[in-house]
Amino acid sequence: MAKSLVTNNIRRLRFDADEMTQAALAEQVGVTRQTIMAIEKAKYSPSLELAFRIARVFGLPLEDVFGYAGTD
Amino acid sequence: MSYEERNAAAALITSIALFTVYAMRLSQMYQAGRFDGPDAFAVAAVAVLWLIGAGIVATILVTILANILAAIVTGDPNPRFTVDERDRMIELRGIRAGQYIFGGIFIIAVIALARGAAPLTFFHMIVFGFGISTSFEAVIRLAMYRMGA
Repeated sequence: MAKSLVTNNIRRLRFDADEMTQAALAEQVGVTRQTIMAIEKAKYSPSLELAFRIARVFGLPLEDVFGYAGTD
Repeated sequence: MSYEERNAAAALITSIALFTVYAMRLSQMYQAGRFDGPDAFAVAAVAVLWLIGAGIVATILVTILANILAAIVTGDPNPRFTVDERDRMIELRGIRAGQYIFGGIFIIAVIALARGAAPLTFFHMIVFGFGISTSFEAVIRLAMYRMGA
């Protein structure tokens, strides 16, 4: 499965947020732990809505959580 | 293993088991001469109706059993039944792959019909094509889950 061009800092942000588990984050944003794992590994690009929900959990703007690695 | 991944595994097991039993039953019916009379299509239609009914019951039972088994194995007292956007994306890709397979089998069946195959053979090919595409759909879904898509 090709890596997504959408990058993220979720793993580091979880660690900074009192070592929040993937399961805890998944519960807060209403997805499965496997989906959080896939997003962290850049194997799945979340919808804009899910991206906003994840950013809201960490109290950060979207661009502080997600980035775009494309050249265009 | 997520709820939907378990369901995909249950769907694969169910469809393979169901169509194996159906093929065996069909073989017995052919040997007994059930398709020799003028009502051959009616006999085949009844067999398919039984297949649909058994399929619904088997899918429900296997899904329940798979989830009970998962709860026992993981020891999780509060199993989650979350279905999210990634599950839906994987399901859609599985359905699309299944449609390609069914489309291919349909074309093969129509070619067989055009080359003189019996209409009843065409009917069986369509029914088994549905079974093969359903199994393939579940395989694609499982593969995507395993690859971490």
